Amino acid sequence: MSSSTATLVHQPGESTGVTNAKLGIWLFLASEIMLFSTLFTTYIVLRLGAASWPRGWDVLNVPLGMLNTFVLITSSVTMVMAYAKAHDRDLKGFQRYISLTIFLAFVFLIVKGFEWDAHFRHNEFPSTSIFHAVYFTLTGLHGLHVIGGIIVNSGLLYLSRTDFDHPLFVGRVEGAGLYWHFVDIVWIFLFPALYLL
Amino acid sequence: MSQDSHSSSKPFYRYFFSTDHKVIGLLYTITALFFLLCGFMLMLVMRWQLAFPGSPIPFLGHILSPALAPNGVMTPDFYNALGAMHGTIMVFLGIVPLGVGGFGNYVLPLQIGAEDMAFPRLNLASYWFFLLGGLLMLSSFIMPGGAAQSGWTSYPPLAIINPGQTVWLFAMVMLITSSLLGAVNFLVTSFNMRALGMKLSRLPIFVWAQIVTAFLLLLAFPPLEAASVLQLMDRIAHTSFYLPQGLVILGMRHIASGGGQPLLWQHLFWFLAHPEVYVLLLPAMGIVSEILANNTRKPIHGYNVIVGSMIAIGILAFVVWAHHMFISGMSAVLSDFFLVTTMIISVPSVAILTSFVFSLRGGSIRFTTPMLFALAFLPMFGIGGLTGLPLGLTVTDIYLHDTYYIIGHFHYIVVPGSLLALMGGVYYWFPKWFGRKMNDTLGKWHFWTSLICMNGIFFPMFIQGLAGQDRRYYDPMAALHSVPTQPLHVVSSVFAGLLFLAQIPFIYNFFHSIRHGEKTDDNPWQATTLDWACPSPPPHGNFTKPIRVYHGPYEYSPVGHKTDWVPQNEEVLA
Amino acid sequence: MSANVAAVAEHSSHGPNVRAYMTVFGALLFLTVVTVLVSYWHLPIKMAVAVALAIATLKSALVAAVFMHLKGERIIIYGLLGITVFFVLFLIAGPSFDIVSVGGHSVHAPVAMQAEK
Repeated sequence: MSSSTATLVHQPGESTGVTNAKLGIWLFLASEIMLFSTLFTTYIVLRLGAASWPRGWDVLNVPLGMLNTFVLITSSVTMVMAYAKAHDRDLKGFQRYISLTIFLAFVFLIVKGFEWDAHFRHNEFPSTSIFHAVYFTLTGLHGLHVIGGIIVNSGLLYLSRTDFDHPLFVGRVEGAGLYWHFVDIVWIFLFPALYLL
Repeated sequence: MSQDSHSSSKPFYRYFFSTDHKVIGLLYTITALFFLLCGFMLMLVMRWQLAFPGSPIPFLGHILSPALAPNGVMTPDFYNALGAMHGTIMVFLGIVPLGVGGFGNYVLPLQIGAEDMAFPRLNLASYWFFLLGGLLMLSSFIMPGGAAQSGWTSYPPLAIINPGQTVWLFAMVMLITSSLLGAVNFLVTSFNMRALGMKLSRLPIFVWAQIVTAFLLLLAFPPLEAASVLQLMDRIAHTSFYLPQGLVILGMRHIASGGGQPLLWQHLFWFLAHPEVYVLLLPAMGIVSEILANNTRKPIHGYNVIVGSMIAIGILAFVVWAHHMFISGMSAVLSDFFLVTTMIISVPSVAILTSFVFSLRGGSIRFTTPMLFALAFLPMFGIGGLTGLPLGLTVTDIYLHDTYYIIGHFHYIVVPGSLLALMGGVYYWFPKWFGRKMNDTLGKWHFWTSLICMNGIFFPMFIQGLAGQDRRYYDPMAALHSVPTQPLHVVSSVFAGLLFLAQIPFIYNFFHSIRHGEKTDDNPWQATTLDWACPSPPPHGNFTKPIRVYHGPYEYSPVGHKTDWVPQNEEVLA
Repeated sequence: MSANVAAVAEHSSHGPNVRAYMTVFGALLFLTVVTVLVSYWHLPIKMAVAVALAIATLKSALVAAVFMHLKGERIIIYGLLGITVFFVLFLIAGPSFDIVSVGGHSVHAPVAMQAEK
């Protein structure tokens, strides 16, 4: 009986055609979509109701934001390459690309840190204005998701030394990738919303 | 799968760190029943003030600190805290964890023929988030600033100014996380872990109810999680997401940038909280359909109608939320839209109730204890639902919204509706949990006394509400038009006290029957669904033989069969 | 074991397509530059929002379709995402319409000013 569960877990469900892990990740992402949609709703509602709203160019560092967009997009590409390498059973290649993804995530956070630091030194805090409240909260929550991605990817890098041949490993990389691309998509919307409009 | 924790010999680990869905389900059930009792006792204290405003609370008045109740008379702030915590505890720590975490966890994997949930360790994490979040919520009473005082709805700006709200928000974020983990788990389990032959069209209605509920939790809770984080920012980082420009409090200008939208919170809160109403209700409906089919000994009437209606409710639940906000000053266009969607969502609810009533027709009804609870659900939910219609129509809602009428309405849905059905579920599945039955006589006493008391508490509220008594007042004598109906509070309060006494036989019965109840076989109710096709209590891994499903869930009284029920896993040769 | 791994991989995707990844990478970088350049021109706000939203949607669609392998995904995932997006539309539209129709800040400001006096 227990051996039949083992195969059940590894293989796609009969009626869905999707493994448990993948279905679980997508369900989680659906709830994440609702979470960030709420934050965008907040942004839209507050902006519609605001007497004035600053242009991102005037208050934020657009070149740094653009740099971060490049960094995050590149990290998405390295993530999907890590998945490709795991799929092709290339351990060294997988480790190289997943390390690169983690590195780029750190670069993103460091650049973000410089931006925040500059704001703080100009006496700009979340309480300064409704724009700053939105800016700090949305980028902060996105940053927390980036940190989550770093933790997950580091876990995979660590596990790959021993578990690379585990039948679930490719699926795990794929799941982590789905999450990471989602974090990228959130930034793709956040960047123009906060910096450009 | 690593499930070593099952074999651990230390009882503490075996019970509190087991990844077995049955242990987690029971933990959820007992914890939720405990929280229900806590929430109920808060209400008893509150009811004293409503029945006898300004007189010292007996017994408790001497124990409470003078800050909460000087000379034994509760302060308005304490009254507000009791109200806010009663709502929060009953909804988020009581009914939902009982219906979803308790019954869902225990019964759903059994009914679909699975060995466990899809992610057993996530399941355990979900319970711990719930337990710690719940304890944090309760502990807010003894924290500096006290418990939250802004209602379970926590409307800003009040919620941002009042003390105690920060702990509430932290606890809510934990509870939401718990629900999200549970929802993912339930959905993956019911889509991917079904036994051979268990097509979607053969799922018991209880499972369908849990699937729809999990969808509601999955997609409705994140908006409140985000909204709670924003309110936390308002309290901790002094942002102004929900604070308008130039807010003046007690004649002082509030120091915050302003520019926020208090109404935004109401939208985000009700975007969760309306689906939440169906989260409270759907598991109860699922339980009722199991008990009805089993005790009428005939297939449930209109399986497709019920399942379709549940799915329709699940979708429509997301587009009716602003009927809670008709008096917020929204434009007529918007309120018309929500009026129409609200009227539409009542149709599937009526369809389900009608199917239940038709299920009774021509059945050979067994009046077992669980059946009494399920039968009582029908008229009680009917009263709760029908009294909701005037609240969905803007014209009548504007008069009734801030009166006791609305309290009567939703308590009829949740207490003699959902809670009664959930208690019926306890009696129904108790033999599965422990291999023993609960005492029938005590069960029937529990049923009749509870039913009468619940009606005694909530029916007077309709009268008070129609007379215009305001529902949020600490002192019911404060408004002249409330004075004539104030004595009805005494009626409600007396019945509330009696309801508390009525639970004593239940509590005794529950714990006594675990060890001393009458022993039963694996399928004491002669039921058809797979939860009765395994030993009672089921061992780890649930089923002792491979399960294959041959037909739908409610094959009762088939023509020409030797028994009046055919289990789902029994092949019938035509 | 390796046969099992291959079987899982076969089921879970249609195999990595590195060329597609690189094409999308190029497109994403290009679109990022475009959206920044467009915003540099100070278009009227409605047009600017439309352009930025269109580009962001296109970019995320590319990421979802290719990186997240949504292209050729199972129907249950489409159903899940479809219903989520349906609810998102309501979530955004409801509160926004409410704020616009009651006039946003203009409602609260006079009240506050009266209170200050």
